[in-house]
Amino acid sequence: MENAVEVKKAKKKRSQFFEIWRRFKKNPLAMVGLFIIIGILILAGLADFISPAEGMIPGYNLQKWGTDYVRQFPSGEHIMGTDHLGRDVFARIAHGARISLLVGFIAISIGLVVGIPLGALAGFYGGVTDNIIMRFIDIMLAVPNILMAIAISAALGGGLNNVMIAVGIGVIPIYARTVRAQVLAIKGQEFIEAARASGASDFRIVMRHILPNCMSPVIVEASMGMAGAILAAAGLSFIGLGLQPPVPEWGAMLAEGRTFMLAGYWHLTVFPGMMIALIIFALNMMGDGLRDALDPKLRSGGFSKKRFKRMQLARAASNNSGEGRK
Amino acid sequence: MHKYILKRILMMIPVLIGVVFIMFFISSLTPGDPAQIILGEGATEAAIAQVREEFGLDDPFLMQFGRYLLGIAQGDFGVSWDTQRPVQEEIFARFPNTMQLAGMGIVLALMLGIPLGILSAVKQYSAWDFGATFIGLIGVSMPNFWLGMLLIMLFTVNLGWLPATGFSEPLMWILPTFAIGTGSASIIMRMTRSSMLECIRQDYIRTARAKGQIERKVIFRHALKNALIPVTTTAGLSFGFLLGGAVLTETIFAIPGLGSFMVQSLQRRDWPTAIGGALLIAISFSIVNLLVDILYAILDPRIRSQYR
Amino acid sequence: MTKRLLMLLSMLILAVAVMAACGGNNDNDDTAGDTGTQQETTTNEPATTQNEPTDQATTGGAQDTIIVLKAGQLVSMDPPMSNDQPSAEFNRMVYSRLFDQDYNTFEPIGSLAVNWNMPDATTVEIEIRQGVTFHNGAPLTAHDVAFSLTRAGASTQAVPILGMIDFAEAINDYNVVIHLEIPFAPILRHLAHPAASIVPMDVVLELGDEEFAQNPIGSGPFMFEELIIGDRVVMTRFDDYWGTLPAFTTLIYRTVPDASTRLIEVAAGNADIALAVAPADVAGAEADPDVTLMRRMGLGTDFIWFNTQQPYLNNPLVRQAINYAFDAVMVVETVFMGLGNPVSNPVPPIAWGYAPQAPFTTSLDRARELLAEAGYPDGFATTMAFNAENAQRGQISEMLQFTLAQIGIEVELVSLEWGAYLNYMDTAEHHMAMIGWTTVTGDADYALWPLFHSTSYGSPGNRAFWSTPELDNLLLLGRMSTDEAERMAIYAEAQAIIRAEAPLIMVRQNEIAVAANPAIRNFVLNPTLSHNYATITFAD
Repeated sequence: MENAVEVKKAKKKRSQFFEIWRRFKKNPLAMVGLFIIIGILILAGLADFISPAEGMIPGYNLQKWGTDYVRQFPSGEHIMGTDHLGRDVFARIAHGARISLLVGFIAISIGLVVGIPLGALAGFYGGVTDNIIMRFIDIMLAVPNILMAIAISAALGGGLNNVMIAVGIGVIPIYARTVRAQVLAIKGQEFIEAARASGASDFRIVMRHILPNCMSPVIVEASMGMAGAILAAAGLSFIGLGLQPPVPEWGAMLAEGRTFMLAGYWHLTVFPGMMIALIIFALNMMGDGLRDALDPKLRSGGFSKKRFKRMQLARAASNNSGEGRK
Repeated sequence: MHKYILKRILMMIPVLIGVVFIMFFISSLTPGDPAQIILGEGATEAAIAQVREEFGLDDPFLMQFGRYLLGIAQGDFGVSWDTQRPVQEEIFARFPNTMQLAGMGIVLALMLGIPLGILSAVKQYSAWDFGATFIGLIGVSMPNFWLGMLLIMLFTVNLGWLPATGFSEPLMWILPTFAIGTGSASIIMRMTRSSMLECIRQDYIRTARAKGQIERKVIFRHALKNALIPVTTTAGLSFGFLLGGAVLTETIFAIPGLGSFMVQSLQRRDWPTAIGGALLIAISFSIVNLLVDILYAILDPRIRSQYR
Repeated sequence: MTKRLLMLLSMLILAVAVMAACGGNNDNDDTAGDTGTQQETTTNEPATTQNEPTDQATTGGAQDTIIVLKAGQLVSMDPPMSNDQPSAEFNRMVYSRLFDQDYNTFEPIGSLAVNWNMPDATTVEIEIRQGVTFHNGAPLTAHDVAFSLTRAGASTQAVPILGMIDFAEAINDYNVVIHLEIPFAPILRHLAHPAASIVPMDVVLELGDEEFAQNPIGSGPFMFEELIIGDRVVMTRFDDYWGTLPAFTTLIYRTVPDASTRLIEVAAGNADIALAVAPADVAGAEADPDVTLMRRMGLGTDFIWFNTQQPYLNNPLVRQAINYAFDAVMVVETVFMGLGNPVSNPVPPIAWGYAPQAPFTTSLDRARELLAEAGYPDGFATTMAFNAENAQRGQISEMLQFTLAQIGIEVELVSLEWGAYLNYMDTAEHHMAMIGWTTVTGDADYALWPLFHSTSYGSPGNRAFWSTPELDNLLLLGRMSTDEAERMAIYAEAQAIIRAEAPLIMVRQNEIAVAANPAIRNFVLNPTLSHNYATITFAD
């Protein structure tokens, strides 16, 4: 008996998942995005196979540092050429994929871990709690993300951990706002009242009933936010306040390659630049596809775009409720 | 409405104080002795002690913060650790360039985004739609610092048509405007398209069409007017986004703006300048947000009624 | 081939945007009108000159504006209030000094000074040139000189250059005596430094220091016209200049932080001189007919310091061993792409007082031998620090790490932010650390005293925390003797001691690389990095 329910539940979950996947599959651009991400994941996974150390340590090639080995154009041997220290660009791109994915993932995780509780608290309790949290969010929003990230990473210093923290802190407001708007929308619904009537604690209501029901937009924002985080990290490294050479971060590689652009070594900038554009493109497309798949009501023909509209609505909602409460 | 605007302006004050506090807090995390940063290489113990005294670096955190706020209230942003010049002189001299760059970026974005968005909505699923969508996707994915580099390579190095640096004459404005505006153009294009599509399906459009009005008139008179309301706000949001984007664009094109200056200041850990710059950007960002909200309320009667 | 393909591709993408924006640009100009006009009013004067260089640079021939692109903005326009390259270049053009230097021999040459005499190492008697006027028309007298030098001697920014000046006094209108706090034989070379520029006493007293720094008045070939913060300094020719009048009327220093972008602008004809060409761009610039690449060895030197108060590194044999392992030739060739030279001496080879020493010819065997002799045949563990934002120092540190691993020394790299890095070295926490030094006066004293005297430990420059009484004594004698031959011998001895004790690794001597408009003639690079643009003429 008990078992049957579990099985049924699992089945329902699975069919829900398949339903989402079925809808996602129909969106060709989203699928392109997904394939690109899978490709980049494979690249990151194979980084050590492509070249274990070459991506990282310039000293590795010390003996080869002849003038003929450095800055080679792409060839059969080095499909993306070699850089100014004789390192294989493709190997560095592969190692860089790890870094970018990691930075994107951890930064967004920081944003989620801090942003979701903040948003849930603000939305659920309202009143003073809401006001305090939202004023804090307003403060964070008043400084452009990238500037905040630059300031934090200037204070803490470059390096992987600090860049992830710097970018992660900058994205907290997005999730706090999204979750808050959702919680506000769900809070008044009957099943919440029902749960409350049955004596569930606030914590339980939020964890069990509210949060699971507002995850869709959060997942979508996370996919898009990851693109933003990767871009911000690349930008930080590009201006020399993020990851520093010899770390093969794509933004840092772009900055390094910029020195050689004039001399005609296009491959040192084109490949890292292309990779950044590619991963951002893919994550955005996936986010679009996910939104349509998770929330079929929002679907409208062709390539989808509701994001900014929704941001706007959430904004208006938060402004209104913020004012209206006094 | 007036009351609402006044309230919003008053609410900006604690937010801005919060911005200063957060920046102050971040700055306090910097390793190393600020006096050492101020004096650079070759500083003597005596000079360091003197500088610590002069800049009040030995005072507790909150005292320094309070003193700074007091200064700001009197229009004094402190003294740059790097150049020893008053911060307000440096940041106000550069600020107009940043605003101009962001402003031109948003104008370009609107000029490109709205027509392309209308085109692809009206000719949905056509080659036009696909082409515009594809360009939009590239535009939104292209990091503006990379785009800037490519523009310099093409228009300065290869073609020799346009200067790559500076901001003092109109020719110098073209490349940075494109570098900064393209991303927003794509966003506005997508917004215009979806908003147009939605409007075209509305009843009143169907009515207008049924009444036998010319298609062009239907689109420009009826659909566009309503479709542009959400576009306005998107443009406002983009403006804030562009103020951030100016940081990298100014760096690439050596534009003497606030963004590139803040990057340089932060690279030298010149915190008074960075905090002053962040405050100035936060102020303009908040004002733009307010203007957008007001504009939105004016354009959309449904929302206006809520602001009473 | 592939390059062209790439360009085609990017062009394709951009073409659409350009076409769509043709109408848009006009509109941009309109909307930007507010800020645009504001700028026009401030840049009123040079507005006519600004547009010209573009066509002039391509046509060649005489032109009336020179635009110099440099990495940084000047710190102060008041001579003793700064110690940076952009300010020094400004001072060199706007002000005059008592002395100039022959930048091959570093012999002082009288500039405002026509006769001089040093009765002892603490006194300088100078007769100055008559008929020199400031930009405001007032004559330059001994009173201005005395005032300027006394003021500079008291400035905290100018301590290493002019701090030894006690005071200067005017005997009459054209004779001045400078009194030094300590015996200081190389003083004349220090007086050629841009920080020792002569300012008009009356104006400074009337305006006050801060106001004067905004409205500087000097007696140099160019007058200050305007400063657009963050962007440019504009100077115009002073027609009553006492020396040779420049061949052009307007000199503009613009700030462009990125080295490649500076070069691009000169190659495209949008500017005339790009300072500090990046090592990577040197080969390309040399091949480019649109620019002339000028190179000259400079007075800057990069060092890796051994902290001699740390274990292992307190042993001269160990320090020599590491010197033998380090491959400076490779560093110059790879990291700096051939820009600069390996050196064997902390005194730059072009400076006065340089005494050649035997180089540590790279030999891992010799290094292993010395390590064994020192009692560490199996090596040891140590650290190497550098400031994170300097990519080249990072690369050099990695190369050192790799090399030393081969002789059994395990090096941990420590990468720190600038402020923290300085602190780290000044408190002697480092084992090895990298930092440079510029012997800006061209005198051996300025290369040796701050770096190796026992009073210079820590922030003044001695990051080895190493000295010997013998060396201390020699350096003091070098300051006390006014006899050049005697001083030369003293410094040769001092350099031999440093070579034997090896408290540091000499990485390389810097080389200055500047790209110029090919029409430019008679421009000579200055190894102190503050160039004299007043001599520039143009090809017909």
